[in-house]
Amino acid sequence: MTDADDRHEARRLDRLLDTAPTLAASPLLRERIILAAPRPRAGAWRWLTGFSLGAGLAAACAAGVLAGLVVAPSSASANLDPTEDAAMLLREPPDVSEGR
Amino acid sequence: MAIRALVARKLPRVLALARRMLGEDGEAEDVAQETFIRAWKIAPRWRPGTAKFDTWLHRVALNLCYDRLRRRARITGEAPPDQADPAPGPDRNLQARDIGARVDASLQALPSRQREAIVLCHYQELGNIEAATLMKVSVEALESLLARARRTLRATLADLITDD
Repeated sequence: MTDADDRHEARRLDRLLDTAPTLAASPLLRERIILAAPRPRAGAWRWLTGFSLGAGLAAACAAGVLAGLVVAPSSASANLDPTEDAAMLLREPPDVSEGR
Repeated sequence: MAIRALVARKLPRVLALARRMLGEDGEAEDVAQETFIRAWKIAPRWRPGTAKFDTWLHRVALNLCYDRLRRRARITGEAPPDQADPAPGPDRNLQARDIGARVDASLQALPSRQREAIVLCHYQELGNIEAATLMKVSVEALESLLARARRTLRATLADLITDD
């Protein structure tokens, strides 16, 4: 068999492999996974009330400025990939051996 | 909303990987769900720069698949095949659906490591280096697995390959 025959057979095999059935993600599966996702903790900003008035106000102002800086580029950019946004929220896992 | 987008993006690939490895829809869905549940548990401890999220998802899904394959072998009392099981004889009057089913059966008949190599490189479209890293083998070992898998598939699907 020539090299050309080999390549032709390889392409044919690739096309055959693509005929194997796929499995679409059902809405039910998707929702089960989403419902199992962690939720933001309630009262995450409760720590602000433990500070004196000055420190509390300064911290609130700084938090507001930071939120504005984080939100503004996201809302302004029509090209932001929502999955990249999600990945940033979740960050990266520690070790590929996790999951055993 | 971000979680929903993440699931929409990653779930199809995880599900496809599990389906190709296990050959059964229900088990594939279970593996996909468990993969993400483990991701959610790990999320608070994630640190950037250690591994890619996709690599981690692949690894967890594959580990879960292998757990199920070992459990299946214990239940049936059969060891996973070291050699590929020859496919049934050719039937030239096959509909597309039957061809797909036969290809799927041939994939499932491969030894699991060869099937994993084909799934990662052909279906998940990972590069050789990334696939070899996931499988914890050298690139040469991966290429050997791929070559053996493709040789077996060519043999068992020979009648379909020469049909043009």
